[in-house]
Amino acid sequence: MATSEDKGFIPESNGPGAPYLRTWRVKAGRAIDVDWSRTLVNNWHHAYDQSTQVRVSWSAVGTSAPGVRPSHTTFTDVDTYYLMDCDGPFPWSVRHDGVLMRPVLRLAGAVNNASYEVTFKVCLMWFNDPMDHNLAIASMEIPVSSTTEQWVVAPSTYLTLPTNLNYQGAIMRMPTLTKFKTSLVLPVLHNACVGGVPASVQGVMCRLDTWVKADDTAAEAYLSGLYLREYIGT
Amino acid sequence: MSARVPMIAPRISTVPVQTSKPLSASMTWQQIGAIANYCAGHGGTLIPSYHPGNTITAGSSGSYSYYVFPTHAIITRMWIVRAHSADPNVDAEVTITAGGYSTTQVVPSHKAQAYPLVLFQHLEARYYGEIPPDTPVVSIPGNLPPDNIAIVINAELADIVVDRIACYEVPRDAMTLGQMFAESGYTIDLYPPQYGVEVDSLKGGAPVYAQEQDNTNEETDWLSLHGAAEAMRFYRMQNSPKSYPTRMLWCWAVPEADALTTTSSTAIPINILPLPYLAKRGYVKERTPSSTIRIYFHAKVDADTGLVGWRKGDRENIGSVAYTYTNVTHTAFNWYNDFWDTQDAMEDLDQPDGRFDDSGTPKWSELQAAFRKLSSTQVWIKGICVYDEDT
Repeated sequence: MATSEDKGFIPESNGPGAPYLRTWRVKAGRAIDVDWSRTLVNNWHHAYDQSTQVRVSWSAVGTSAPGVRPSHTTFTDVDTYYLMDCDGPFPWSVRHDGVLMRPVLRLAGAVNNASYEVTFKVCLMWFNDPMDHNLAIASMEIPVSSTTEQWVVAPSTYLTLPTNLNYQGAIMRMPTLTKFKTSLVLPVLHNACVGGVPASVQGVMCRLDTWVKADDTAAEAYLSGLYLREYIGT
Repeated sequence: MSARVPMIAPRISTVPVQTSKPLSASMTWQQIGAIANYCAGHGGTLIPSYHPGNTITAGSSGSYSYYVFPTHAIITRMWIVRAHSADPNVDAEVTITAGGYSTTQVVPSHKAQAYPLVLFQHLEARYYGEIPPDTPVVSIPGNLPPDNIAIVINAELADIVVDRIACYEVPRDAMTLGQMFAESGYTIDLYPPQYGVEVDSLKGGAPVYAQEQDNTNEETDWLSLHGAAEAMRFYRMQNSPKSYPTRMLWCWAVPEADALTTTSSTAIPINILPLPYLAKRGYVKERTPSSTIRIYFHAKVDADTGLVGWRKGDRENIGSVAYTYTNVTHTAFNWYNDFWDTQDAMEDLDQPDGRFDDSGTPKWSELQAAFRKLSSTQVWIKGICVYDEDT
């Protein structure tokens, strides 16, 4: 039998499946039992775990052909990256230990011809909101710049996709706060947020870009799905 | 007085909770109060970023409807729209409207140059059109409110293509303490309680306030352990009869003019690729997935009955799983829902990428939606919202 330490919420004395932690166990002048107390702590532990969010969730939709979404279906310049897709800005959470919640990303795409190779590059960028001067951001030592663009090194990954539409091993773990120090403020987002973001916005904003390049101008690439969510992890 | 919402979630520990030791002698309770405020005041994703891909002709508008479960304490939403002119030689202008707030901005003629248009929608009060946050899903009538929240995009100067829509809740700086409605005179339907917890009342050595036996002492809803417990109770009740707030997994919506339609009597998949997801855990060490996934369809028929359906599985088996259908009977767009209360996989917080490994092969769950006619001639669908509802 699971103990209250294991359970997200206690079964309670009125039977299993009690809908919530019963507050009548807290009574003035009475001792608070340890079991109840641990349950309360575990409840909030779990509530925090559940506070992670899906930030990007897109899958090709259509009733006939796959609903592919290329911004550049045929590449005119070989070995040049083209911006294929852009998400954000969206908020990102910070853990109690100062680590950004790690993203888990899935990417789906395809190439029209097996003879040609197309490479996707996925970049997740963190940036500070220039209107927000909260201390936590400052303590992260995130460089803020409106004139330079620096890519986060670690979260970039290169994926060579097959010719069939399928999710292809694109599960990534993004860096923790130590890598965050190398991230940047992307100028376009920096400018876009000026005057629009109230001071009540707290924390880190994020942007996800998908780039693509081909090794032959005849190659066509398709992006068919993106899925990005926060994850607490170990 | 108000409860500050910490930007960073505090760390709490069960270690100080020990038999025969005084409970209020540690800082544990303050952290509980702080994380209660964090969870309730941090907000979440109402609409994950997705790609509508439809074109809106100049001089007209498109309305996008979503079925959402707002966090009870959040009073500001951030809409993000990315669009570009359909004419590569002409910039366009768009007006975005949501909940009485709007912004008009120029959008470029090329997608790669498009930038996010941000609109803040302020909620001085909950709209009656929305589901009250404390209404359990199971009590919602079969015919759900058609437009929980909506955004309208007007195209001006030139046709536009809508590339991205997303909506996120903006974290609070602070919340009101407890229920508040008793002293403010408002009803719970108009102003949902925020249940902020007074963290200072949870200091070591502070008196432990408790609930009266007759459950009438609302003065302690924001104080001490009773406040923290009440905050937990409400946090778990707000959207679900059993557990934590719902988490949006997938969303897609287009204007009515761009609705998908079919006259086929066989299942037509809506999302070509099954969508990956991880169901949440019911409790910390749960080993058998028990989360409920619920899907909402915004659909209509020309007459009689059509079908919307979905199926789920892992990557290895979803192709062989049959669709489970729900009847579509309204001739105007209406929300229909169905759910699955058993899952093939769930997230594992001990794993680097969250995938649960019960057989040596960590896996995702995947879902796929479809629709078809039954006795109707034609079926339309213009929106899907999928939630990880509860455990």
